[in-house]
Amino acid sequence: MSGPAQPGWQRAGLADALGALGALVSPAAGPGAPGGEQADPVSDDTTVLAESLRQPERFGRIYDLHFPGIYGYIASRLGPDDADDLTAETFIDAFRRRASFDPARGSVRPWLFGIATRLVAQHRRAEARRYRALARTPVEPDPGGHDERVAARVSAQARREPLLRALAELSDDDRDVLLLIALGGLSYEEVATALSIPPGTVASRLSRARRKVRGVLDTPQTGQTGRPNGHGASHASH
Amino acid sequence: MPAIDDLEVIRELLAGKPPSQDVNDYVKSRLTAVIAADSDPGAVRSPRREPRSHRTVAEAARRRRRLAWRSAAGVAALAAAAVAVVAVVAPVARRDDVDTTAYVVKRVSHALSAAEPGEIAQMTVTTRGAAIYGGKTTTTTAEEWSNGNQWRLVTYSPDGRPLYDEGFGTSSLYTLVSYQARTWARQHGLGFGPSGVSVLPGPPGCQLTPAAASPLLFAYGLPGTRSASSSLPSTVARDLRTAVSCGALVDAGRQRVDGTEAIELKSRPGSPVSKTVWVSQSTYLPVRVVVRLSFGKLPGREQTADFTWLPQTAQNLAKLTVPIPAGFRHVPVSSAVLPILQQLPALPTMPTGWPNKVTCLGPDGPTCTK
Repeated sequence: MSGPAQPGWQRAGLADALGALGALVSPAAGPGAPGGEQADPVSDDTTVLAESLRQPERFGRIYDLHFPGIYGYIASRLGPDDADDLTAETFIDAFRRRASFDPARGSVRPWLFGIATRLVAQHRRAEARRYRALARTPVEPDPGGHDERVAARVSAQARREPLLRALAELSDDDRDVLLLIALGGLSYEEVATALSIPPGTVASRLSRARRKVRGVLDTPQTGQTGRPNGHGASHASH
Repeated sequence: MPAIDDLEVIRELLAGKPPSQDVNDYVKSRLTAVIAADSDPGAVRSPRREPRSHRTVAEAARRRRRLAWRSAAGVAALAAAAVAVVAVVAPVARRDDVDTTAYVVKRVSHALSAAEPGEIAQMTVTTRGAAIYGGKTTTTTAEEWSNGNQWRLVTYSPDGRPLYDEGFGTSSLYTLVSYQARTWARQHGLGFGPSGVSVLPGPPGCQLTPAAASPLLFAYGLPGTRSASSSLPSTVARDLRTAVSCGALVDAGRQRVDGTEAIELKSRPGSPVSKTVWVSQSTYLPVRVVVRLSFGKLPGREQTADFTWLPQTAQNLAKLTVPIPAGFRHVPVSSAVLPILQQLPALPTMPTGWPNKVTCLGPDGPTCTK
């Protein structure tokens, strides 16, 4: 169900509009798209959420749209053991609080990521354990990449442990911003909505976090956007 | 050296596998139950969550379990998006069982998947009320071990003497020792079909077969000489996982089983094979299984299997090997098998409609039919 645009929808920049159009043409999300939930127009889930107030079962559509992205985000931060329960709690919490959702503040997606992030925040120790476990995990070679890309990746993988340590040592607030962008694929504005903070604070936290991470990677950055698949690149490279 | 995108590196570093259908079903079932409760004004609402930022991970895990037990009270009006697990279980289950069952099923299935390759299932199987040995109705016991494709079964007489010892080992050899005849035999091609091909494959999405659900899981006689590989003891973990995942079992509460806090999962009423599985509340691995089988008016049979899950130590792995006692005579398999089979009663004849009617019941009864 895709209705006409309604007042109150603030996003839908050019990139999002193109993404939505592409999704309509090709329902499957591209492999590089963080989470598969961008396969539907942004406006759709806002309307569906409103409908779910009268027809609760309509919330199932919200789940279908956003489950892969939310699960992937939580699983990347906490690992698969906790991700299923926390993903369930994210959607249950969202369902119970759906009446308080304000479409004027943004779309459903950052709202869900905000709930997920708050739940993740209650498992900081599990997140730290995951980083330590990943640091001990041997890296599997990537057989199919382009030479330069593989070389860059190998170089980065050599710094795996310090990078994970750097992630663990970030402040909780900085890490949330960094990972909402890196893992959730959210834009500045969406992160601001998700965390209920001003966009300027998002920018400063992201800048601080990336500076520390880049310090570990020890490689000059040349205009990287943080959104290698191109979608929403302008948001994260500010 | 090209520049490295730090955000891409982070994403690649932390990204895991995409969620499995099992995870999707589990998460969806929890949400669906809440939605259904909201849709049903008469349903008892799940309690709202309390802030838990101060709780430890262990406390949170325990609380998650408790919440899973308590949540999702009303499920009569299941939403259209209900998943198969809920749909299969819900019609007969009490309302507040649904979410609990889905949660337990998930945990048991994961625990069995994890245990199957790594741990040795040791079972003490007691069979009661059935003519098993010497044509008499009596109680006998057997010790079984299984790990992957390896298995071993020692059957004892009512007075506790070993009757025969058979197994399938690492060298793909079936070995049988008859303590009565003081003989032993070995042969390739018996003992196990490594693929565990079901004799009666179930319909897609519901692979529970009569063989998997029947007491053949704890076979008596000489299972290694049969062709029904799916019913061999070595598939214990797989069969249990199938039964659990198929939705044939419903949470029936908590009990203490030999000092272990356990969750009871029961097959639903009317099932031709009644199976009760108790799983540990801490490990979600089965600690006891009771199977009752009745063929119409024919005498029923009840088997109880007590499980111990053993680590793969050299000592425990040795239990999978059939020892050849000194002084026993080597004979062809047929010579070892026949005297034993002659003492076993024939299995009851399957009634009409069996095994076409399987125990995986749908909303309106046995929908998983061939």
